[in-house]
Amino acid sequence: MKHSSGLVIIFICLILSGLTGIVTADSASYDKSVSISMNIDNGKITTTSTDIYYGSAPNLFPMQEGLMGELVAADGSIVKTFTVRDPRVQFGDVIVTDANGPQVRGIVDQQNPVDFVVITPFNKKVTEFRLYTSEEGTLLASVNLKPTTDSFFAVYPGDPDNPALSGPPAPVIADTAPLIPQDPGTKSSDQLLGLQAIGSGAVLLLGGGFASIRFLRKRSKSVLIVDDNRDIIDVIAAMLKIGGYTPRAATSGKECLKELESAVPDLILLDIGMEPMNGWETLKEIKKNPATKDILVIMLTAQKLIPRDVENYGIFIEDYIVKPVTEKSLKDAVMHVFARQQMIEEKIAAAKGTGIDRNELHEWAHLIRAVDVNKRLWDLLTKTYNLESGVMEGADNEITHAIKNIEETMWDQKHRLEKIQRNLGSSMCI
Amino acid sequence: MKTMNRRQQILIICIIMGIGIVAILGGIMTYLNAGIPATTKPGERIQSSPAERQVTEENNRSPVSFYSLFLSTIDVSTGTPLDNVSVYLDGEYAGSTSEEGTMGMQNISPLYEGPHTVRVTKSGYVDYTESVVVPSVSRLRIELKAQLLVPVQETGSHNTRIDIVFVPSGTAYDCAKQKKILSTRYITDKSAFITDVNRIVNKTLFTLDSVTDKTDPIPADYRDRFNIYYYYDSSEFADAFNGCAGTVPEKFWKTVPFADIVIILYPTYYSLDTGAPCEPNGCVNPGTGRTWMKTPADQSVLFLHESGHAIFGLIDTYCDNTGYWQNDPDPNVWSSLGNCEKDAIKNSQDPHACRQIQQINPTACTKPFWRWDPDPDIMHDGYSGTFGQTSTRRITYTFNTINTGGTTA
Repeated sequence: MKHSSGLVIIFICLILSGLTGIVTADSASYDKSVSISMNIDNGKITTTSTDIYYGSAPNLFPMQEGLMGELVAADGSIVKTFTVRDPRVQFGDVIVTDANGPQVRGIVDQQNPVDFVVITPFNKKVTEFRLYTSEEGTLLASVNLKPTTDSFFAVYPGDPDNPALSGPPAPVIADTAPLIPQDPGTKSSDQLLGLQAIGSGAVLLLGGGFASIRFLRKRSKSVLIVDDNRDIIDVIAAMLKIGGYTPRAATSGKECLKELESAVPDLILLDIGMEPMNGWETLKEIKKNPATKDILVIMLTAQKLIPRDVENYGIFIEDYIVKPVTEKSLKDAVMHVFARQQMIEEKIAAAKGTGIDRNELHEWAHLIRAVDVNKRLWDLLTKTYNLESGVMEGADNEITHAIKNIEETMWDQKHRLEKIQRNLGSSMCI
Repeated sequence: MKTMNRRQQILIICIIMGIGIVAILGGIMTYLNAGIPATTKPGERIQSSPAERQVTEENNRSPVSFYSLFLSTIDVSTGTPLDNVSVYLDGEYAGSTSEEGTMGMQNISPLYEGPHTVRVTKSGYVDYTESVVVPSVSRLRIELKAQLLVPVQETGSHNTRIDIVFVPSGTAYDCAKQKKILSTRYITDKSAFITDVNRIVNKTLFTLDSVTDKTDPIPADYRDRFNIYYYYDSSEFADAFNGCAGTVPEKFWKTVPFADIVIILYPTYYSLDTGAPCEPNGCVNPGTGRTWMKTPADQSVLFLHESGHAIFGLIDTYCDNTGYWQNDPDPNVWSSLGNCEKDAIKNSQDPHACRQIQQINPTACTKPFWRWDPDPDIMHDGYSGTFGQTSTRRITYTFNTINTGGTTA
C-alpha cells in the first residue's frame, strides 16, 4: 500500500502539471446576425435601419409564398436567396359555433403601412441585401450593408470576421523601429505560456523531490520489539535508538499482530516466553500471513535454545538472541541480519537481466540465508550444550542426535550452495 | 514502487525531475522571449495578429504606452462574482473571468490608449457591452442581469434546432362582450404560465407522433429537434389582442434574437364566437426574422393548427377568407387538381382523394386550390382531427430542413 502511493504521487504530478495549461483553455463565439428593419407602404419599401449584432439569427425556413430576398457579395455574385413572407398579411382563425357546430373561419389581416424586419446570419462576403417580388421579380429594395459592416467592425476591430484583418500582410517592423514598450503589468499569451511551463515544471520538480525524500532517502530501519516485559522493551528500544534504528513495541503476541496490520516493520524482535500466545505461535501467525511473511524475525528468549525448535522454526527466523541482551549482542545480530538481507537483494538485482536461471537464483537466495541462519543457530546450540568440548552438558542423546542432524543438514545445504555458486559464476560468491 | 528496485526508482524520479527542469527552463526562455518585441530584418514581411497590427499602427503614429483594464463581473441581483464570463475586447475574444469573477484583460491583448469596446457574455445572462476610454478607465465593474429566457428543453445549437419561445400575454378576449380584457393569470402568477407552457408542449409538440399520419411517419427523434424556452418579464407582457397576431415587447426581440417561432400564450378565449364579429382565437404573423403566433393555452388542437402554419408552413384547408398557395415543397394545398393528382401518384396515394377547397354550408365558398388530406383534418377544423399524409410529409420536410431554407448560390 505504502509503495503504491508513489505511483499516485507521480500521477498527481503529471495531472497537475497538465492542468496548469488546461484550465486556461476556453472557447469563443462570434455568431453575428444582420437585422434589416424596413417599412412597406403601398408596395413601396424603405429601409429604416440596418444593424449587425452578436447573437444567433433565426433559422431560414423552407420556401414560402411572399417576397424573395437575396444576399449579394461585393463582386455582384449571389451568396444566398431565400423567401421573405409578406409582412403585410397576418392570418387569423376564429372558431365559430352555430347550428352546424363548431367551424373555423379565416381572417386575413391586411396591414398598410407596416414595419417589418428581415434577419439573416452574418456572412462576411455579403455587402448587399435585395428584395424582390417573387412572381415578377421586381426589385423592391436594395440595401447596402457595407456601411453597417464597417461601423460594426470599427467598434469591434478585433473580431476575426473583420475584413480588414484578412487583407494584405501587415507592414514590416524594421530593425530601427522603436521597441514596443511593455507595461510591467502586462503579460502576453507567450508569457502566460512561459509561466504555465514554469508552473508545470515546478510541480514536477516538487513531485520528484517529494518522491526522492519518500523513497530514496536512507531512512532508519524500524524494529518491532515484542515482549511481555515492558522494562525489557524499554532497554532494547534504548539500545536500538543508539544504533540508529526506530523501535516500536508490542507487549503480547496479539498486540504484535495488530501492530502489523497498521505498519510493517523491517525486523521483529520476538520474545518466546509470552502468555497466552507465545513467541512461536506468534511467529506462525506472522509467517502465515502473505502481507507479513517476509518480515525478518529474530527470536528473543531467556530459555535455552533446543534443537527441536531449530528444526521446526529455523526456516522462519533469522537469528536467536539469548537474554540478558547486551548492546553488543543485539547490535551484532541486528546488523548481521540487515547486512545479509541487503547483500542478497543487491546480488539478485545485479544478476537479473544477465540471463541467469531464475529458479537457480531463487534457490541460491534461499540457501545462502539458510546456511547462514543454521550456522548461527548451530553455533548457539554447540555453545549452549558445550559440544565443542565434547561434553554434552545437560544434554541427552536425543539432543546430540538432533544437533548432528542439523549439522548434516547445514553441510548438505552448504555443498548445494557451493555447487550453485559455481554454476552462477564468481559474481554470486560471497 | 515495491516491485521496482532502487535503480528503477532513481531512474523514474530522475526522469520526472528532468522533465520539470526542462519545463522550467523552457518556460523561463518563453517568458523572457515574449517580453522582447519581434523584429524582422528590412525586406522581410510578416503577417501579424490583429492586436499586433493595431499596436504597430499605433506605434507608427506615436510612442505608445500600454495599459491595464481590470474587469470584474457581478450578478446584479445577488452581488456575487460571476466566473467563466466570456470577455471580448474590441470584438476579439480576450478570455474568461476567473472563479473570483475577475480578469485582467491585458493578459491577452495589449490595451492601447483610446476607446475600446468590452463585451461580456455568459449563458443565462443578458449580454452586456460597454465602451471605455483607456487610460481614463482602468477598472470596470460589470453587473450582469439574469436572462429572462428560461429553457424548457434545449437539445442543441440554435442553428440546428427549431427554437420556440413562449411569451405570456397580459390580455385575453371576451367574444360575448367583443372586447379585449385584461388577463391577470400570467401577470400575477408566473407558475401558472410555466404550468400552461409545459402542459401545452406535452399535449401538442411532444405528441406530434400521435396526431400525424403513420404511413410516412415523422422522424422518431422529432422532440429533440426543438429547443423550447419561455420568456417571462414581470414588467412587460405580450398583448395577444393588439391586432390579429398580437404584439411582443420590443425588448424581447433584442434579448432573444434567435427565436424561430414566438408563441404568445394567453390563458383562454372567453365565450365562443356565435357569429358576432370577434377577434381571432389564433393568428400567425409570418416573417423572416420575426415570426410569431398567438394561441390560447386551453385549446391544444387550435395550438396544433397555428403551429401547422407558423412552424411547418401548412396552409388552411377550410374554405374562407384566408391565404392559399401551393406551399411547395411537399405541399398540403395545390393550385390545380393536376398538381395534386401528380403528387398523389408520385407518393403512392390515391389521386381521386384530391378535392377542391370548398364549402356549401352555411355559405357557398369555392377556392381555386385543392387538398388531399382526409377529414377530420387539423388544418381544416382547428378544433379536432389529425394531420393527414400530405401535412405529415410537410412536417417531416420541415424537421429535415432546419436552417436550410433558401438557396446558397
